[in-house]
Amino acid sequence: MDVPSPSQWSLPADLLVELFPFHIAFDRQLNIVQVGRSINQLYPTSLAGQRLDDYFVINRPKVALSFEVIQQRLKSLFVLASRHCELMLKGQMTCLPDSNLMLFLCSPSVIDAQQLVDIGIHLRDFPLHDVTPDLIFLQRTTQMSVQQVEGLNQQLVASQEQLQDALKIQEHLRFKAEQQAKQLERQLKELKETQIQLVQAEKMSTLGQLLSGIVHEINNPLHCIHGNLDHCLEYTQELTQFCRFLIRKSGLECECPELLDDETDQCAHLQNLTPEDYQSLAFTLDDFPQVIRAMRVGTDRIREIVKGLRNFSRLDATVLEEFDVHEGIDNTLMILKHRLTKTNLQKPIQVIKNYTKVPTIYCYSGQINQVLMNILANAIDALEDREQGRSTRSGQCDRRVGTPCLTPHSSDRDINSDRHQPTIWIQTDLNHQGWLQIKIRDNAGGMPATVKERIFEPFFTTKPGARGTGLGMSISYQIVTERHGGCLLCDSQPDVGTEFTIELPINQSQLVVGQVCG
Amino acid sequence: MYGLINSALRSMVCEQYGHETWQQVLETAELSEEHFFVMKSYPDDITHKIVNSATQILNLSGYDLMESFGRYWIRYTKTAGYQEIMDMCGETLPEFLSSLDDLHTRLGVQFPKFSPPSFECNEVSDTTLELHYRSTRQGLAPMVVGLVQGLGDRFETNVDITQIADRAQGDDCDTFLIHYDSE
Repeated sequence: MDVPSPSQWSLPADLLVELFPFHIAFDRQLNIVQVGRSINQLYPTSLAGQRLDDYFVINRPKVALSFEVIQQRLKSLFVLASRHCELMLKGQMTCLPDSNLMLFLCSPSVIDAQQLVDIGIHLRDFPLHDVTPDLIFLQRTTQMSVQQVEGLNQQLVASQEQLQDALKIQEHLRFKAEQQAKQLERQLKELKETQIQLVQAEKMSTLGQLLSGIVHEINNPLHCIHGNLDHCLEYTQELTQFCRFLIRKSGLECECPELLDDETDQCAHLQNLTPEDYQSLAFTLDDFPQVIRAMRVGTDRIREIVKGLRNFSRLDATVLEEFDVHEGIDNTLMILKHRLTKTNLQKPIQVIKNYTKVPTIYCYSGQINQVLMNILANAIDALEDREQGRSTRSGQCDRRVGTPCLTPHSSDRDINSDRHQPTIWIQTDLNHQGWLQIKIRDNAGGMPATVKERIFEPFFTTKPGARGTGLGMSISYQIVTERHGGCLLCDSQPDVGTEFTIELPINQSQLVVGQVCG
Repeated sequence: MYGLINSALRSMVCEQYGHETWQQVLETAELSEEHFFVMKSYPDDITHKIVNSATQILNLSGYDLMESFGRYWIRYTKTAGYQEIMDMCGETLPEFLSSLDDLHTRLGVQFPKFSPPSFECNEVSDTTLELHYRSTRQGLAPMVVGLVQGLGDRFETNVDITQIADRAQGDDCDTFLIHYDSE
């Protein structure tokens, strides 16, 4: 089959219209001769026969819309803009040879698909060979990619801002936490200093009670000794004179004659002793040893007191030592004795002890004495208040800081027998764990539950004015529980009384971490 | 598969089941990508993993998921910036289906690694078309069903689609008979 050469064939007009739906052919007078269907469909009537310049203007190149002018610029890319719509046609002008016709082969010049939609051009309006739809798709896809990147970038920026904000907040919180830590450190330091001062004050309070008791206890024997010293001196002088008289009268030589000087006159009356003199001398001989014995009793008592104070002198001891709890209780009672027998009380406070044979324990004895002192002194305070009618809560409630248990007691009958007799019961025993148990109970009228539940709080006190630091029971609780791993319980029945129970391991090896009382 | 497809899957799951479910889908698929770039070509394996994972998490069959995705895809392309291009593709269902192959051919220019499917649309009657679908990928016929239903939604036309030939059953291609309401 012979292949026709290009000169042997030409494009039929109807095929040109089909293949190039965007084209315009016009003559020298700018009359439109033929228009592509995709352009023509945009207008209500056919453009054929109409003037080109009535429908279009030249945007590019910047030349006049004239056949001759266009003919001079055939190598230029032409852009015609519709006078009636947003359509822009971009393409090439071709002057048909040996003809007065100009052919404008073009395509819509658009930047996005929306423009085509607005103009009314569809995908089917483009010839398949036209790349304009591909460019539009590409432009749209590129735009979407850019939008996506922009979106991600915005998210990134937002995340960065959030991160920066979070970092700022973190920095602020860190700074604030540091400030608070410093402030807390300062406050803690101040608190510790205050605690030390308060604990010192409590020690001084205990010491005050000790001193008060000691002064009272020592004062009596001391007074006795001091009072007898005058008699001793008098008896001594009398007996001394008599001895000198006897020496002189014996005529024996004295190794220290100066001792006999200046005594002649004073001994003169011994030359002639009267019956009264003999009687006086006899009295001296009889009374002098009694006076000495009385003084001996006094010094023994003082020695006993001093011995009893031995443990109290070691409040700060850091070494565990053997401790006889009965001795500790007795010593404490001895120091508080003057308060038990105060003359301003209608009835003295009686102490009923019910000691069971218990082993000695290993503990910080000074501190345990301090606990006994606090509890007993509080009981005495409460009983005094009751006795003096100073109690303000229901007339029966005691002032102090304490818990319950009020277990059946061997001496309960004593309460029942005389409810008005101010009494302190002290009982020692071993609990079911084999720990030492000390119960100290009074009949001072007890305390309400609201007071009882706060009794071990630091600075909580019901005592008026400066009578209490509010730390006694708190420190006692700390000593028993923290320092010795024991338990300190308080039971109180309003209108009846209060009972404290101290439970201590016999030795610290009995102590198991986390062990609770009960 | 281009990121556009994976983004559409993500959008569908997030929109219909919530972002937490999408996170579960990613976890089950053992994928860490939170975002897919529209113009980036990802291995088909990623899309398969997402689809498999989604069927487990959403308790859907693969057919139902892909049909659902096909229907969603028409809405997604509209909201994802392709509305005008979709508008250019025709004003009626048969017109759109007729230009579907050209549309994919042109998309193949934009996405050189796309391997676009081909569509051949024959008019059977005024209200019936026969659509032949050919793809290098397996198992996407249910998506075509969904796509046609989605186009029915788009043009507010009742559509009834039946698969009359199945490549998985040895036929030359997947063929669908589409009945639609004429205007």
